[in-house]
Amino acid sequence: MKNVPIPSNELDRIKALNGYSIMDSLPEKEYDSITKLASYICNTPIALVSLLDENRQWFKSTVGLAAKETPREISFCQYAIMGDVLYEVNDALEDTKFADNPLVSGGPKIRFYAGAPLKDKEGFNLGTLCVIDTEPRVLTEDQKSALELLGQQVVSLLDLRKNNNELLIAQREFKNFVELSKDLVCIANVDGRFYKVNPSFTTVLGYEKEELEGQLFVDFIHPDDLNKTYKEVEKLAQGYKTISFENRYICKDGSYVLLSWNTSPDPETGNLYCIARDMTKEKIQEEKLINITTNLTAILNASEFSIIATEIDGTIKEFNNGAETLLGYKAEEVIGKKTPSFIHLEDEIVNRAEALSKQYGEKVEPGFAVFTYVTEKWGIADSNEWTYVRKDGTTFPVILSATAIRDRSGVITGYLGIAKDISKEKAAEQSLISSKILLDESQRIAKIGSWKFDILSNNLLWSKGHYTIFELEEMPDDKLNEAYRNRIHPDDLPILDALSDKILDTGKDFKVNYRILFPDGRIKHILEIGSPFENEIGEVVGMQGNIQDVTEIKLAEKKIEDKAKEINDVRAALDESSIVTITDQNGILTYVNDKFCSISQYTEDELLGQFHYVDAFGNYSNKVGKDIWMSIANGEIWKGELQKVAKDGSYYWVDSTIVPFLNEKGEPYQYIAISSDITEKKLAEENLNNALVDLEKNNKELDQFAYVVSHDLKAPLRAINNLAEWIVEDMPDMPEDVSNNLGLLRGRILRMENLINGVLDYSRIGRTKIEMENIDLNLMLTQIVETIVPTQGFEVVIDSQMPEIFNAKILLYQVFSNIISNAVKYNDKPVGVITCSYLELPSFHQFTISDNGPGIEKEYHDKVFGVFQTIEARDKKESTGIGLSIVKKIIEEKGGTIYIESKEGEGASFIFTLPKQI
Amino acid sequence: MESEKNYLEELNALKKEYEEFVYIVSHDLKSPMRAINNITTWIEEDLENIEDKGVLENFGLLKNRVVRLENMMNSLLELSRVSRFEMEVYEVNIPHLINECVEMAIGNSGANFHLDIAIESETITTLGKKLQKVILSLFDNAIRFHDKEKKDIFVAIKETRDYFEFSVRDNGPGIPDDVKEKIFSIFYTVNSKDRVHTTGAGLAITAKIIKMVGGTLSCFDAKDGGSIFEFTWPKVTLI
Repeated sequence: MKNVPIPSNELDRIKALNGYSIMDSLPEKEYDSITKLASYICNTPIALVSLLDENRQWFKSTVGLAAKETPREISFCQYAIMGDVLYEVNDALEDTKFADNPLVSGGPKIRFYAGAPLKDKEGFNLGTLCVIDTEPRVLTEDQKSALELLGQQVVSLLDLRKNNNELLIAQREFKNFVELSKDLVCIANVDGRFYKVNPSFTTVLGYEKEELEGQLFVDFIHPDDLNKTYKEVEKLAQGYKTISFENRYICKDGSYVLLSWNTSPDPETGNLYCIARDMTKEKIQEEKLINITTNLTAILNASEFSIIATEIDGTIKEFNNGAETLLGYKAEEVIGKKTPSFIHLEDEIVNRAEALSKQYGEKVEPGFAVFTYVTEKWGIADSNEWTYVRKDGTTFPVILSATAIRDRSGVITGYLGIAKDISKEKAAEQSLISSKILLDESQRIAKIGSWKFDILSNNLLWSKGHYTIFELEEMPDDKLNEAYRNRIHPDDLPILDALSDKILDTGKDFKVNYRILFPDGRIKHILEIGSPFENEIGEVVGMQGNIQDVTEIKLAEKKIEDKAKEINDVRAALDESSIVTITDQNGILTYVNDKFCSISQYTEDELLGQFHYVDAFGNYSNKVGKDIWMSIANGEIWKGELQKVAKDGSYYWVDSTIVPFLNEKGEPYQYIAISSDITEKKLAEENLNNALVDLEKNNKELDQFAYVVSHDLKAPLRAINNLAEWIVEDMPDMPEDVSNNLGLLRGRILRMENLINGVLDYSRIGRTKIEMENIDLNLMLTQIVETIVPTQGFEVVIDSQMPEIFNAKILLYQVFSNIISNAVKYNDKPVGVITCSYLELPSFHQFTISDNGPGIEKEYHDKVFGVFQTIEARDKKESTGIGLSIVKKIIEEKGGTIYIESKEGEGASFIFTLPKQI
Repeated sequence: MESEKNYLEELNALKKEYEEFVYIVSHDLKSPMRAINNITTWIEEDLENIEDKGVLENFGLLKNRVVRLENMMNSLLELSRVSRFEMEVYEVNIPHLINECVEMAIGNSGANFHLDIAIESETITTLGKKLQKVILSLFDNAIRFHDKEKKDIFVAIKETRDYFEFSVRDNGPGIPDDVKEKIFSIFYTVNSKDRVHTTGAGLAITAKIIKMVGGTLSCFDAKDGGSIFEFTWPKVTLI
């Protein structure tokens, strides 16, 4: 880089150049005229007005050159501005500074240069007016003078430009100032009309610019302020340069604003230059301040506040009226004394000192420091409740606010203690606490809680009882809602939310049941009653209500439900198994079960509303109906069997239990009958009765039958017998075989008759009632023996101990005669021995009849008692075979037994017993 | 219930005894009866050459009584057999059965049967032999005891849900009121057995059969002086 020349005042020169705002401006014909003239005068092809800033030379006007600018470092002008006179280069090729300059070596091939510096009033060379030729040249003196003169013309043009420029800026700034001013700025004509107004008029008064300009300004002044305004304006005429006043202007919206005016007249035109400020806000502010001051003064003077100012060490400086009133001291009594000693309780100061020491971890002495510690340390007022001691020794609670008083540099100069008597508040608080305790207690007992919900703040407020029910610790209002929601059973939460929305919509009271679910899984049932409350304009802004823990009630209800279900189940079971009816106290059916319908064959509709216990006989007049009513109407249970009539007229039997249900007075209000169908049992009983009847009838029939048979069969037998007899009589000389045959016939007839008699006897036993009588058995046996036992070939021994017994004589005759006749009949010895012996047993008579006959083989011992059993053929022994079966039947029917002891060939013993008691 | 059981046992015992009685009489009397019958035959042979009128007359009577006795015994046997023999159950066509019985009963009696069969179901599955026996017995009675030349017998059959109702009416002598109960007893005859040849067991047997099947039998006077025997016969046989 070549060493380029820099003017010593370069920075200021650049600044000055910028001040002309010329660089890169548009071409101007004034400058172009000068360059044309310079080119003409100097007879050069090129003339330029060149201005140099930091980096370039810029051409304000050119003749004969197309370029607008060139770098400063290759410019000729940079040398020209270094001096105060014309700078001339006659042949650039011969000047070492320019010989290798690109403007010389290349286009425009400068060979000649002459530049007059453009020196402004301040002495800065802003650039040059220069002429340039491609041929070496020398300017004449005239030419040089002309160029310098022309250079001065350029400077004049630049000066003019600069002045114009500054004026424009000043105007613009002024305009901006006026336009942007918050104050109202205007020019009024001599004839009293707005000439120019700034936008603040629009802002403050609300009129558009066009609505004001040309109008009389007095038209906008509050009528009351017109005179005042005229007076002020008068002053201008009297020679005042400026007037200041206030008046009220009417706004477009009809309201007034207070404006404070400063007005000056233009001495030449007589126009008024006016500036006004809207004083409305200031006025309000001022009033406020006055009020505050007044209030503050009032507060300070109010007797209910005790204000005590102290020195740093607690010595009382001031003691206001309030303090005098409250504490009972006169100011002059206490000023100069040290607080807190005489107006505070020692204990409170000690406690406070301990509390502060603990809180701040720093020893606080029990003394004046307890009031000043906080305010001194933290710079804030320290408010606490204290007890003040009056002069008379009585005490009262106060809120004492202690503040440090500092001077301008922040140094504490004393303390101010402001105290308020809070006795009433305390009393109220106490009573509030008492009533709250009462409420809480009653809520706790009743398991009730109350709540209040503020929609705007979303805050929830609960009574203690509410907390107790929810088993939550008391917590801040803003936390409670969430805690509450967490407690609600998840299934119930949406219901409650929906309800809540509904209530906010409708504004109606509500009642809802929901559950709360504890973390341990327990559930409480809650009944909530509430209502929304409204603000003064009728918007719902919250809800309040009560809750009640109804868990026990719910559980009881559940129990009742379960019980009811159980009862229903039992009833269902009963319905399944039994006939059930329920009637009201009048016996009118109110309930029948299916079983009753099915047995009675009536439908439920036919039965309900009808009288029950109107049985088969249709009324109560029968004995059973009376009996039932006598019992159940007196509250007693009736049990028994009833015969009833079904719809089709058939009878059925039930075994019923009728239970009266008693009301609290012990009177029956309904009867429940539980019955079972015993028709079959009854029918069976009937059958039994029928069987008895049948039995008797059959007995009778059998008797009759036996009689008829024997009688009717005997008739031809007798006839045959008689006829056979007659034939024998008619034939005295009949052949022997005929006679034998007839004898045989008669024998058979006889046997048949015996047989028939035997059958008859057998069938009659046990049915014919036979009179009982005393029987001398000894006598009876003797008679039997005389009748049956042949006198030859038999020996009969009768026990001398034979008793006398009470029994049916004829039957015992049959027994003994049958056995003895058998002994006779089957005897096979030359001398048959028959022994009748007696043995008395505890409850029985025992008789033994023994013979010395053939005996009976063991296998026949039972058989011989069967009907028609004989051991030998009938032809050999004339026996019906019915005898022993009759004997056995008689003895067994009398309650005794009979058996045989015998060995073949050694005779037989028939041993039988008869009971002593019959 | 205990008592009921006892009663029932007793009743059964009684029934058994009744059966036993009939059995004893009919069976155990059979051997002496046979003996009597045989001996009578022998005597008749012995008396072949006897010409004594009185003796022959008496012997004739004797023989008659023996036969009667035997008939009675047989009747008794039949009675005892009512519930033990001929107990086959089979399908019976009632109109056919009636016609058969009419044919068998009429024989050469010259009786006129008038049938009025008003039944829907003509067949019945029942104790066919017993029903036949009953019908035949009633027809036989109506003819046997008829006392008029023109013997009209009216047979009507009706049907109820559970029974067939048979009615047999005759225009015979009728039955005196005082013996209406007795006619069902065995061996009872309104008139002497010498006048009408009978043992008097027919109605007893009939009554027993009807009772056994669960029907009823009763006897009324007809308007024109004859008798009406009505009996019901259950459609379902309960044996």
